[in-house]
Amino acid sequence: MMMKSKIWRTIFPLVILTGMAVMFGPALPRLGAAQQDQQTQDQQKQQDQQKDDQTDQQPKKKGGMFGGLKKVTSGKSDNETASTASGGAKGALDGKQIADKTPTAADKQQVTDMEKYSVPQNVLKKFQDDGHLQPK
Amino acid sequence: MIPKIRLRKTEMAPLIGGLLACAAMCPQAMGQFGGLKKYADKVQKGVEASKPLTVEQETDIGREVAAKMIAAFQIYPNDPLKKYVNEVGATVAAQSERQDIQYHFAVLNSTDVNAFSAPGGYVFITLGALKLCKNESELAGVLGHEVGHIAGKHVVHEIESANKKGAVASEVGSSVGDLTKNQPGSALYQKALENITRNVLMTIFGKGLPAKDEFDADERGVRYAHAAGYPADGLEQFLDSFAKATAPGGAQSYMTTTHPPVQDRNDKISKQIANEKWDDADRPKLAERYATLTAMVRAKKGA
Repeated sequence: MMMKSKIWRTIFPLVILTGMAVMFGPALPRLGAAQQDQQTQDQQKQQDQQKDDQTDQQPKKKGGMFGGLKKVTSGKSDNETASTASGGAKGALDGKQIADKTPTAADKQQVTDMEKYSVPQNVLKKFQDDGHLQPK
Repeated sequence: MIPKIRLRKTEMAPLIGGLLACAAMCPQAMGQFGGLKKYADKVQKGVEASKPLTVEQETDIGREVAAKMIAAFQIYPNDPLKKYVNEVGATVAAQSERQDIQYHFAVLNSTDVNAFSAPGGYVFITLGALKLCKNESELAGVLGHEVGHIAGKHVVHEIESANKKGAVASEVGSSVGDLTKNQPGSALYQKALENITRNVLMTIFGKGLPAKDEFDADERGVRYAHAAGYPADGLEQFLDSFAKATAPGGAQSYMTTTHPPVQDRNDKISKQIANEKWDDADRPKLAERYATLTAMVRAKKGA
């Protein structure tokens, strides 16, 4: 009995320490990695933010199918704001400006109207025949 | 039976040290476990985000994009013109290989020369572009190009590609994940739609689509227009006019920075027509009908 007790007294702290080492040892390197990842992500975010800021300051590029909104005439869009009409972008809106728009109920209704509108097949056929079109 | 333990002072030291070390490590370790949970959540989001968009989701995105475009430019309110553009558009779109969606066409009240498409079948052309077209076959080519973007799912692939590249970190990836796991109409679904719409608009009106997508849309547009009965070179003719209108000293153009040069596009179109051996000399360009039905565009001040 005495012998067993002595052994326990010696082994018990070692068991505790070994257990802790097993439990938390593997986590430590990953903890370091996780912190490093977090730092990298933070740095990336900062860089992205700086990039966005720089992009915002650059002259706006115009997109769409033909690569940009070109003023073929001297007139300006009915919807241009004073600032865009007089600015270097020749009155065209950029992606951010368009993305920032909040469609009104009337705008949304126009989308619905657009979806509902269709040319009846007989009308379309007459249109094609009138134009001597021969679709495949 | 567990023996009674009496520790001596010397034996207590490592135990106390160990307990202190444990106390110090636990918050960090727990933080690590919390990090693992977050990571698991992100992976789950990534899995959801990497699912392809359904037609319904694509249409929902397109509807949002269309609403923003209309809010920005407004629809040009003219019923005969709307009918005409829809007739030409429907004739061309009927030749598209993609028929699982409805195509919708509208004229935007803007003098800028442009045409846009949004996922789900929404196609817009501006008054400025209508004014630059010389005949119906050019209009068919322009609308064909836009239908080509939709049929090729170019914007949809951009969204899906953004998810694959950065589903865990990117806002778009998270948004698509939210779109997938939430019910249409719910607040989270709507929020996700708004985020994606924003990114789509920034792509369409900002950096533009990749050049390969523009060439692909050209190829499809030419093919659809030809199959619809128009001369295949309508788009090529329009791009020529476009290049002249935006030549140095002329109107401002951002094309050189956002899209492939017109010359490159037209070279490919010419090659395509030659390869196909299309002889369209006798096909109608329909300049007269076009002039009649778009007269109001020319009459409009500033357009």
